[in-house]
Amino acid sequence: MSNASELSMFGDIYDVDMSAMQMESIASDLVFLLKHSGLSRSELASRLGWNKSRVTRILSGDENLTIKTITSVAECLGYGFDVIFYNENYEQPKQPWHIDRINKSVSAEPVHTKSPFEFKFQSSKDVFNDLMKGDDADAYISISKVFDIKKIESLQNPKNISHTKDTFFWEFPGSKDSFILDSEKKDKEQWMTI
Amino acid sequence: MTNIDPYFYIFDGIGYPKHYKKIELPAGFSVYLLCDTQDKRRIFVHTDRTEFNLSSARDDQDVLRLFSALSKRLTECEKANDLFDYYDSSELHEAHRAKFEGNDVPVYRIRKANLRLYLVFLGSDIVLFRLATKRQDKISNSEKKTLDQRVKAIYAYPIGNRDFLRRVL
Repeated sequence: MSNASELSMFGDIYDVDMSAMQMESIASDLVFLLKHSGLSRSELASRLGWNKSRVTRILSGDENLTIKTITSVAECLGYGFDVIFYNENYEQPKQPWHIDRINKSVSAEPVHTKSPFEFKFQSSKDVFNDLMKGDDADAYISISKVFDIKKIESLQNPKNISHTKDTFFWEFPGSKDSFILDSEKKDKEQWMTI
Repeated sequence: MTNIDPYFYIFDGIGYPKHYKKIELPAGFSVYLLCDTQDKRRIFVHTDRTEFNLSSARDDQDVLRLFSALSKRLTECEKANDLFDYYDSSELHEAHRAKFEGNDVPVYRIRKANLRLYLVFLGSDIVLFRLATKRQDKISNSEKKTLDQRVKAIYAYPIGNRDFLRRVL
């Protein structure tokens, strides 16, 4: 096994200037703040009386950001800013978009009066086309056995499907096979072939 | 040009070892790094970087900037396509169409100074597979061949049933 640092994208075998990474981080925060504010880059440039190319340079991290520049952008978007210090003992404070996302997820807690899962049957070609378009589903069940089309149609019968708040249980008629999907575990362990 | 036997590593951290920071992506998607063996040192973006690292300190520094920005912006994406919300079209755009076996796969790239990071959207996920320096306006034919060869490898295992996930290390 070689020296692990050689595997690193940012390993110390390279001469790392951490301020460059910090500059990218701050520029990214300005990108997030702009999106959070609902303004376009052109609108921001217009409000500040800047060329759009300058806004692009700032948001891409290509310009060395001064406090004056950050203040101008933040105030234009209706925000103040501060310098916050944190480490492993002191949690990094949440940004406005994080707070909104948390509030939104709390207020949008679904009431499970019906199945939380939407499903449809597609051929492998249909799935491939959806994937290529980026219009993919959260999960796929692949059927590798030769299946009677009438049985497949009968799978769409809701009687074969039961669910709780977090799980989806699908029985296959005339067979002992079944499928359980746990919505809390959306990882590769979910992919299974029947 | 020989075929690549693809393996995928999950892009889950930067800054190893002194400034290591874990990248916590939302559950909705993953980012993979293409590799041609089960040896992590052969991850393409690493080997690509090694190639130009010796020739330009500036490019090397920009690699840090590119991946630092990318990792931060990825953490704010709920799904892979949200990445377009966080980059200007001049920074992230379609750069090439890889053609093989009747497939026509859009290849995107992220620009940072002279660097170009090539990626494809693989279903709901992203695969990073090529890091190059831009030395001319148009993509050269040899670069196109490299891109096509790697994209072909990414799609070597059917994505419809997500067989490629069996190659994730």
